[in-house]
Amino acid sequence: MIRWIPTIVLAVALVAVGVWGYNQYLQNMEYRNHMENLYQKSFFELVGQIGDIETKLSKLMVSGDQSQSMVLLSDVWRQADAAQVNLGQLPLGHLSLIKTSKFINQLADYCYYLTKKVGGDQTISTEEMDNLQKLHNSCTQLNDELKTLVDNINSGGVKWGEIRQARVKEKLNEQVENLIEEQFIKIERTSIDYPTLIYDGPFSETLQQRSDIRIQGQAIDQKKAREIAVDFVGQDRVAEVNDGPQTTADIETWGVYIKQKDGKGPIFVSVSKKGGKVVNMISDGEVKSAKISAEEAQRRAERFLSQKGYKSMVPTYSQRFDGTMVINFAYKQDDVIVYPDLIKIKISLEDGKVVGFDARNYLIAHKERDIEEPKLSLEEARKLVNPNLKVKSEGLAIIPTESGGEKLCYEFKGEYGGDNFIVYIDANNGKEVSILKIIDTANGTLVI
Amino acid sequence: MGQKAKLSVIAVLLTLFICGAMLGEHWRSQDAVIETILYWGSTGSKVMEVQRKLKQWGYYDGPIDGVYGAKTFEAVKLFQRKNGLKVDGVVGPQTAAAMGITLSDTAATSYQPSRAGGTHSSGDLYLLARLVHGEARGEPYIGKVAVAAVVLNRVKHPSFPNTIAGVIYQPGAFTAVSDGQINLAPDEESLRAARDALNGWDPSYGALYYYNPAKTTSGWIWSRPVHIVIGNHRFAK
Repeated sequence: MIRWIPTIVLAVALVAVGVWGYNQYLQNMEYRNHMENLYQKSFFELVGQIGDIETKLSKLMVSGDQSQSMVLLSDVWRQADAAQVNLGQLPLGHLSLIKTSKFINQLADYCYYLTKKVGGDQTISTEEMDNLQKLHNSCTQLNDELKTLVDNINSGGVKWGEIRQARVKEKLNEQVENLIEEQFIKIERTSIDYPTLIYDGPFSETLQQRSDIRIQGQAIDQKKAREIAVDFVGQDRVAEVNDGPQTTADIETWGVYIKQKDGKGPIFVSVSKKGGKVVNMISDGEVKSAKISAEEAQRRAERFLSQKGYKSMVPTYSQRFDGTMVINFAYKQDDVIVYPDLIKIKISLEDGKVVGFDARNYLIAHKERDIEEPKLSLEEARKLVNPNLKVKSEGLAIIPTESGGEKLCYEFKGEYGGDNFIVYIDANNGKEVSILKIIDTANGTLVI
Repeated sequence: MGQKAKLSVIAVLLTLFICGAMLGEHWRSQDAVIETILYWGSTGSKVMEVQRKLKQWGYYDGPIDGVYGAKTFEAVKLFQRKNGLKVDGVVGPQTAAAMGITLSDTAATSYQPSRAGGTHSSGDLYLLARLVHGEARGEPYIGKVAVAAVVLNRVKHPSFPNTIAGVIYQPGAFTAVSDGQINLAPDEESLRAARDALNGWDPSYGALYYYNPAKTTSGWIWSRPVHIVIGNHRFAK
């Protein structure tokens, strides 16, 4: 009798393990199906959207009515936006989607730009029509490729989840790769010519290939950069200086690490290799308790800027985070605030020291501008502002446009129903260019 | 005589005062009426509504610009003539009723200001901080800021999704997302680094990729021009 006991125990254990394993298997299947369904949904939605976009773009070719064109354009914009989201959810390596993703994003952006144009009672130019035609042709090709892919997936019975799994295990199953990933890479690399678009929008090609960096001056070496960095932070704060990483990006810089006397985290300063300007300064601004006021912090930031030789800078916006305050300064030429020439300063509210500095925008954009007399007077512009806005201050400003250009505007800072807004009216044609809303009013202060 | 003169001066002053008060009252009520009557020179959304109605019925062929000008005036007169109203070119209560619009401001909802300390941005901040914590624990502070900056650079770039969550959760984009480390609670330093990046600090100088040369298996990434090396990470475009 006794010799049966281990056998029974083992048998029971085996059954228990079996039940457990089966449950695990069921659960696993459930998750897998769930994931598979999500991937399938994204993929088929994407296919549907690309097909729809293709149709709408071809309708645009024959539409002769402004308002109809606008409906079609905004429809393409909306669908392309959704297609981009679906594409971003496919379990393909993000590297095999770079071009397709860019195409869809630019398509959405371009149609948005044209929607705004048509909405502003302007017509689509022949050149823009030609671009739309090119976009349509690329879309047709993409649509064809996607349909082949759908057929392959349907006949091959390949599941999206399998790609993801193969990816995690990092040994890609040849067959799977051939079917989907390869097809996408093929779409990316060979079959489709995506047009290059230059227009007034954030994804315009001009902005992606910007290289006109303005810093000029003599080349300096790492030793000189260390001196500049120490001088910038202030000799009295420095305990030790070390070389940090250098950059070879659009602005070439030397990096300098400064160990502080008060034992707080190191300060990193990068100094441009040409001209020896401090581009930015970053330190972990850990603050235990805030002791100085926001006004005092702003005074210190202003003093710091003028000490470093930045003249005619005015504070525009400041925001408080825990124990630090970030203050934005813009250049003021005559009576015009030049927002592209932006410098940010982060002040510790514990001891009022500068713990962060960023002048990249200023160094790239700053120059003395020829500001022409605006065609509209301030009074004329004020009449164009929605009367709901209680205007608290007004003036001329140059603001950056989405495509990296600049625009002379009248700026109206005001309040509506307890929220703060800034409205920009083009100083030459009276168009409302942009409305900004100050979202974090609890911690942020708009300088009026 | 002196007594009489004094009295009459007082009487005149009193009359003037009463008249003034009445006139003021009159003007004020005029003001109130002005808001509910539209005539040549009126502007605003109500005028646009009138123009839209008149255009729809074919009385008006000018622009819908919310300015009560000559064309609107003529159109209103035409409308009044056709509908047997007093032809004065002014949109008063009767004309308005005939058009089927109300002149008084009937906007019943009042604007509710946004709640201070917008949760939207702090949600993004926390998500970004979690990624930084998962991806760059043990890296120097600027390395953390740079990792957060790469996410933001991708959001701005056409080849990547357009939201912070979209970029972070793009399949295969970040190992900390694939292995679940992103779900760890971020420390204070990661939060500060994420905030610095959101505020515009970018020590990666516009990089779109980064990799740890000791761990990466992708051959492609090695071909990208490296911007800066911070700690164990190479940042590239």
